[in-house]
Amino acid sequence: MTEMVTAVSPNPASSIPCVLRVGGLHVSFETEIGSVLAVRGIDLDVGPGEILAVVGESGSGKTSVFSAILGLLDPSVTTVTAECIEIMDPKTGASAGKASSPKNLVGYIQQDAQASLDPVFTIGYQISETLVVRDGLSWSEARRRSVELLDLVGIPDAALRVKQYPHQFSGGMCQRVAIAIAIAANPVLLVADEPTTALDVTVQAQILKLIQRLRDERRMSVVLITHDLGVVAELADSVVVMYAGSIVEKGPVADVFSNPRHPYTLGLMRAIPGGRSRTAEGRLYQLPGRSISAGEVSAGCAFAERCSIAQSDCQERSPSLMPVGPSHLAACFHSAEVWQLHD
Amino acid sequence: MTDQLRVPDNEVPNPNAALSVRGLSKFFGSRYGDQRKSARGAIRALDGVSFDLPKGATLGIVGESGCGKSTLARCLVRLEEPSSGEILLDGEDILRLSLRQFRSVRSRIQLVFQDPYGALTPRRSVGEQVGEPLRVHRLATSRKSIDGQVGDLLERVGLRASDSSRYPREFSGGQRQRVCIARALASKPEVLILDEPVSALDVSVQAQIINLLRDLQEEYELSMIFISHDLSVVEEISEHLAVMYLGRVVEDGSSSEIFSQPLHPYSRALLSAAPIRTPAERGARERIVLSGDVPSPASPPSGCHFRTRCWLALSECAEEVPLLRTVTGRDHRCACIRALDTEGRVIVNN
Repeated sequence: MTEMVTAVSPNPASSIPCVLRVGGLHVSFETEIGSVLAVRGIDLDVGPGEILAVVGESGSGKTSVFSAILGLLDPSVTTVTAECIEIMDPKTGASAGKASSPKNLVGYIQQDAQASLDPVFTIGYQISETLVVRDGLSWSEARRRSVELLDLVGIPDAALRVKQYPHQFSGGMCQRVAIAIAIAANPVLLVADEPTTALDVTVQAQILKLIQRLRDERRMSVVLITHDLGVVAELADSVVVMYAGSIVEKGPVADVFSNPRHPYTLGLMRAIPGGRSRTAEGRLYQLPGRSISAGEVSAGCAFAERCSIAQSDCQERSPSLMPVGPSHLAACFHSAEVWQLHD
Repeated sequence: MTDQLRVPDNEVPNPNAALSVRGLSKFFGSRYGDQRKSARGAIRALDGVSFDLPKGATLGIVGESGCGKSTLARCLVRLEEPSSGEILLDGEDILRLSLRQFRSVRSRIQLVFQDPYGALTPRRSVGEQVGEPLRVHRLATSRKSIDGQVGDLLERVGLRASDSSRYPREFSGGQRQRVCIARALASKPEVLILDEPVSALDVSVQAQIINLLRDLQEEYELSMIFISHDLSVVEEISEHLAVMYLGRVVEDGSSSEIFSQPLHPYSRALLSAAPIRTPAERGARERIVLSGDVPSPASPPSGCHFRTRCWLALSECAEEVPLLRTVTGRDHRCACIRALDTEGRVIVNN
């Protein structure tokens, strides 16, 4: 696996087509106790038709990254800096840089779809509103289109359903409506924040299938923000693992799962019950200590305190992402020794 | 129909069970009227649930939202008053006790809630909250003895005794769940009911809490009911399993048996929908994707509740409520006429 290292560079040349490219993104929030860092320098790119999963635990900064990219953060209390944020339509070549609004190119599904729908307006109105305001459709056109969209996301009796209110929809159906609104303007990129978290497993399977179908039919790129490695295993092409506001590992999903090269990634995978999670004593593997947030990181590797293969260099310097395989990067000085943690 | 026991196979409570539930039903809006949803009647949150919890064992209860698993947890400690049925704690029906009499029993059966943020009051220190069961049940009287026991409990769940003067906001979600567990253990219960205890927690914290529960179970000889929608967690911690759908148990028995050979069509669909662990498993497992949503518990389908979404349903399924029958010679029961014949033999079908 190591002989391919030369073929990889941490910052791929700009000739490779990209729908989303982010470089050196930092996000900090102004609070009563001063400025708190949430994202500490992130590079990301999403190719056409790619499903990228961004994985991390609470406080890892995964939601902040995309709120910042989409301009959803309140500028009076947040500072966002980046070398580049580029969103590009691969078909037309039109792009939205940092200056222009990316909203027409990106569809966004918030966490908790049920709460993101307004209880006092009909489903049809809420889908139409997007089309009228953003795309300048007439209300009658928009209403016709909203029936089509509901149909497309697999809601039966769409013509009847558009006249109903969110409380008449189950959690899974609200998630379908949120997806319909997000894809209404034919975005090139769909960002879904925890799209299946509040849903039952049987409904979760349906929603994942829908996202996959939409990607296949529309060649749309998808970013899945999730804490659920099962969702990643199911759907993603590539994965980015975040810890304390930075990326600790990224690569093709098959490589990261079969050969995790950052101790945190391995720890996360082993903590899921079943399979290889048991330790020699028959207990569930657990990561020692607790997750820290980006603001608490001092010198050295953010994970060093919880890492059983950490050495003195880990306390002193902070590792950057280094190639460990084809398109596979890990931010660990000792990524070659991570295999020792499998027992 | 629904008020009588529909469980001929475990009609007689198991004498070795720490907790036996027989024909437990809870209808909302039937007696109190306030939550009446439709002219057709009450919301049947629990509809004749029966199971045994063997001493020192863990019973996992799985099912999707609306199947009644949280109502079951609340009924078991009488936070909700069941409409009918029996709850036998060591052979004694706790539903026959007056609320005053029940108080003395209440210390023996404790509940840990899903949301460790909502389950602790922000206004009182962690120590006060962990010590409250000791005061309420008069298990310790002197201030000193309460403080001592609270300190021990906090240390036992992996916190520090000195944490007792701190407030919930100073703790993370996982630490708060530890506090809730310490509080539930304060009265030295025999039965601990855990309603989605790790669902609100991150994966790495989940593993810590599961390991803690397992240690505590051994140390305190606890019998546990572990309610969760997360199948991998339940498989990890439970020896026994009950699968619920729309207020009824559709399948129960040994956990390893059900996970390896689920018989009820709903259990089969539920287990097949569980997330895969690695990308290599993509497409390897046959998924049974159910159409539609769970019907409203205010007007459940006649006969078998699952028949409207079942690909094996026959016209008979609409007529009679299927009985939980034992698979011959095994610790495994299933309520489906398409999965088991009247002799308890497994019917092979798709």
